[in-house]
Order: sequence, then structure tokens, then C-alpha cells
Amino acid sequence: MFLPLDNTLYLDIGQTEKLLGGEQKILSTFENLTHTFESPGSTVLVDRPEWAQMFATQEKNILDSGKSLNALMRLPIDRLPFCGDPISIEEELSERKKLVSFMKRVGMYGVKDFFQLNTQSINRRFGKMGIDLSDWLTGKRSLTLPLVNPFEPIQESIDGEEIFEMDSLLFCLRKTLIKMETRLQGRALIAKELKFQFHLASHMPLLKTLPLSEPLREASPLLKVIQEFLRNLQWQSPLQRLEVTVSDTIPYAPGQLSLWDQTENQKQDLLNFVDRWRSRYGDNHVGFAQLQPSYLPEKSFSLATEVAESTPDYIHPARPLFIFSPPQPYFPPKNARLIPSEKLVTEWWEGPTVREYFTVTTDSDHRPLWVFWDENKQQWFLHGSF
Amino acid sequence: MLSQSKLYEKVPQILERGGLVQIRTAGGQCATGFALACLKSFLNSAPGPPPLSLWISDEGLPYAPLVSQQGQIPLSRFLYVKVPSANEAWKVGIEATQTSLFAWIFLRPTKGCPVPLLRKLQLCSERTQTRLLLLMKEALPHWPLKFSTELTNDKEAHSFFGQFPVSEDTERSLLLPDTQSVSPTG
Repeated sequence: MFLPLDNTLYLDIGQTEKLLGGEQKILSTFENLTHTFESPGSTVLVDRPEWAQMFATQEKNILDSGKSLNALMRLPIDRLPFCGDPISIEEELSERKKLVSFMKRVGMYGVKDFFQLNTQSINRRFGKMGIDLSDWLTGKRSLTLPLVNPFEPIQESIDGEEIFEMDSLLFCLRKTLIKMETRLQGRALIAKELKFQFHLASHMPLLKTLPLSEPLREASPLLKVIQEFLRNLQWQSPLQRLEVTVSDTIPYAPGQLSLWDQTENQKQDLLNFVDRWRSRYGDNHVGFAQLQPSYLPEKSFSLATEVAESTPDYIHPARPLFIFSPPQPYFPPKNARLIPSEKLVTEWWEGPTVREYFTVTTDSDHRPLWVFWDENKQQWFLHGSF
Repeated sequence: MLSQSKLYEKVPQILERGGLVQIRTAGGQCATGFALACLKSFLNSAPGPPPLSLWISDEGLPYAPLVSQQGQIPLSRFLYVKVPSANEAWKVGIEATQTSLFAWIFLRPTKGCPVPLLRKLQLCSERTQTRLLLLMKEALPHWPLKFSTELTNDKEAHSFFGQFPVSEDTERSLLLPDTQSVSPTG
């Protein structure tokens, strides 16, 4: 939840601090954000959002969990007007300051002095505004921040005064794309289409649309694509302003393999998973199918971590799509219809095998099976299903 | 209720944003062809390089030369995992879905799984937008599934081949009085 005001951003991290990796991680992310948007300001971390502005007196004021109240008691009374709902603070600031100057005149110099007064005394001496301040200060009222739901499109503007040619445009775009990357990241989106509106001195805006066949978010690959897209672009009159808008987006699905999306890292992830499964279930049970020249169905492919595409050497037209591994003992039912398909006899060096394959169908169940009679074992086996 | 005609073309649309679909057949065996027909249909319509697919089963694997012969499913993008038991198949299914590395996962276990596990699989698949096709005899609870059907048309089940591969000309019937003692060549 957050509440954006002019130059102020409230984040309630109480619900999600563990989910997002702890306060430390949230603060470092926030610092990166402020750095990206070149807006260094003061950062305050307190137990309650309604107290935050009271502590905004230095660049960084990080208070340990549960220790904000003690720190609050040490603040001068001048900080009291900044307690509570940020919208009320903005509206009532001048009146609150007048009230605080009155408090000072009656000998109250710290927040602690105000905090120790009971409700009746506050009401008698300072009226309704005093009660409101007391409620915020003592935690009787708490600030509930609204959930974030940004609807406005992601748009950035570049001042065209310093842009005379493509190189300077790309230089300025780099910074803008980094900002856009961060904004897309915040909304968990990937850009699918970008729009460039060149506002020229001639008052004839030039509109260019860049559909991205591969949705992108990272600034550097985006810059390369834009560089290619705008390569032959020329503008006749001086550029005043350039607006870049992300006009179409899709939700970000982490881990999809693609040309730009950290392919190498994900390939490594895949290999790690394949290795893990191979060590768990055996090398022969996990991998990509590598075709091998063999008449025996179970030997016509092996499983490997990386394979090259190849075409099969031999394939009988009556072989099924699914192979049981290993073949399962089978007893054909009495009403089975056996359709002979092929006979396989292997040489002694491959292990003597004599199999006669049949396709089995029955009247009750028309799903055909692929079975063989093993001459050596004198037994039926189920080897595949269509 | 969707028509079963060209159902394999509709399944990729149903699973556009991930989720679970169960395909059953009365005998439980024919869904492999249907599953690969779904994948083929998806690959035909998807632009760019083919995404990774995964086959998990505890009883066997698709016959790679036949898959390769079709020409549209590259074996280098189709990972096979043969596990020792149905429980392991479900476990690998969840693990694979969580990685979000695979666009399609075909899970063919010999038996079902507890409902909480199925729910977990559903949530994972929708979060990572992974398409999961469950191929099994046993009917699963309908509510975690985006779609569930039992194929009634044999030709639909064999759509990957286009037609049943056994020629009518060579068909021969053998009535077996005693399956234990009769040799097929006899």
C-alpha cells in the first residue's frame, strides 16, 4: 500500500516486509529507486506511518522496530504539527503551527509534554485540533494507506534543446529507458509497444510506433532495438520535446526463455534442473531425446542433456507414439484381435532378441495397444499404446 | 461444453495464461497423440523459437523417432523425465512448474494426487503461466482444472497421426482360446 503526495511517498511495509526480503532489502531497493529518479530526499522508517513526517528532519532516519515511541518522546514540540494523516497535515499546517506556538507559550517544549496530558485537559486547553493530534500521537487513530493501482500509461519526456542528431538522442534515451525499466518493474509488466512523439518547432508532431515482436523491459536491449528502429529517422525542424510512451504491455512472467531475457542464465537454470533430476532418477531417465540407429524401439533414442536435431533412420509405420519403459507383462484378453506389425531379431552382440510385434484391439475397448511375443522368454509384453 | 471436433486446437487457447487441463480416454492410453497434437497446434501458431516442453511419466515416454518424424516438435526443446512412481511424477510436475522454464508440461502419472497438491499445482501454473496437460484415467476434482474432458472419438485421439496407422489391408484377427499357452506364430 502506498500514498503518493507531492514529493512524498508513503509505503506500508508491515504486511509484506518478510515477503519482500526484509526491511534492509526494501530500503536498498527504495534507495535505488530514488537514485534512478534522481530524487534524493529523506528516508524515514518508523513503526507507524502517521509518525513518519515528524522524523523527516534528516536525510536518513531509520528507527529499530518498537523503538519509535521512545524517539518520538524526545522530539521538540515543533514537530507535533507533522503528526497524522498527510492530507490533513497539508490542509491544517498553518493552524497546527499556531496551536504549537501557543503550547510553547504555556511552557510545553517537547512532544513528551503534550503526550503526558490527559484527554480532558487537552480538550479544555487546545480544543478539537488538540484532540486530533493526541489521537494520532497516542495511536488511537491509525493511518490506512490505499492500495496502489496505477492506471496512467508509463510516459517519459525528454527536453529536445540539446538533441541535434541521433547520437545525442540515443544518449538522452538511455537515461529515460532506465527510468521506464524501473517503472515497468514496479508494475510487473513488459513493454510490447512503444510510441515516440517528436514535438518539433514546426508544430507538426512526428509520431512513430515501435511494436516489439519480443516483449522487453531492460533498458540496454531496448536501446539497441530503438537505435535500429530510428536509424533512418530525420526531422526537418528543431526538436523541442520527445515523449516516449509504453503504449502496450503484457504481464511479466519470469523465466520465459527468449533472445533477450537473460537467455544464458535461464539455460544455466535449465541445465541445473536437468542435472538435479538426472542425479535423482538416473541419466537414462531424464534428458532430451537423441535419436540412435537401432531397430529396437527402446534403443532408438537415448536421453542426453543437449542434443542436435536429427532425422530417424528407421521407423516402422505401425509403431505407436507412447512406449512403455520397461515393457510390462501382458496377457491378451480372449476376444483380442492381434494385427501383426513387425518381427525384430537382433544379433548376438546386441543380446539375442526375437520379438514379434502385434497391434491389439478388443471389441469392448477400441484403444489399440502395441504388444510383442518374446520368443526367448515365451511371454507377452505390452510395449506401447497408440 | 466444448465440441470435441479439433479440440486439440482449442486447448492452447484455454491454457493461454497457464493452468491445468485434464484429458481422459476410456482406456486411458490414447491421450499421448492428443497431447502432442495440442503442442503441435500451439507451435504452429506461436511466433519465435519453440518454447521448452516437458514430458513427465512414471510408465514410459513418447516414442522419439515418431515425434521427430512429424517435424514440428523439435526434440531439442522437448525434455523427457521418466520417474519411478506416480507420486514422484506429481512432485516433479510441481517443481518444474515453479521454475517457469517450461511453456508446456505433459504429466502422465498412473494415479491421481491429493487435492491440496493439485491446488498447489494450479496456483503455480497460473502464477508462472505454465500450461499443464494431465493425461490419466482417473478423474480429478474439476474445480482446480480449467477444462476436463473424456475423449470419445478415436480419430480425435489419434489426430497426431492424421489416421490410424494400421492398414486395413494387413489386418488379421486371431482368437485366442488360452492366452497363456498360445503362441502368436502358431
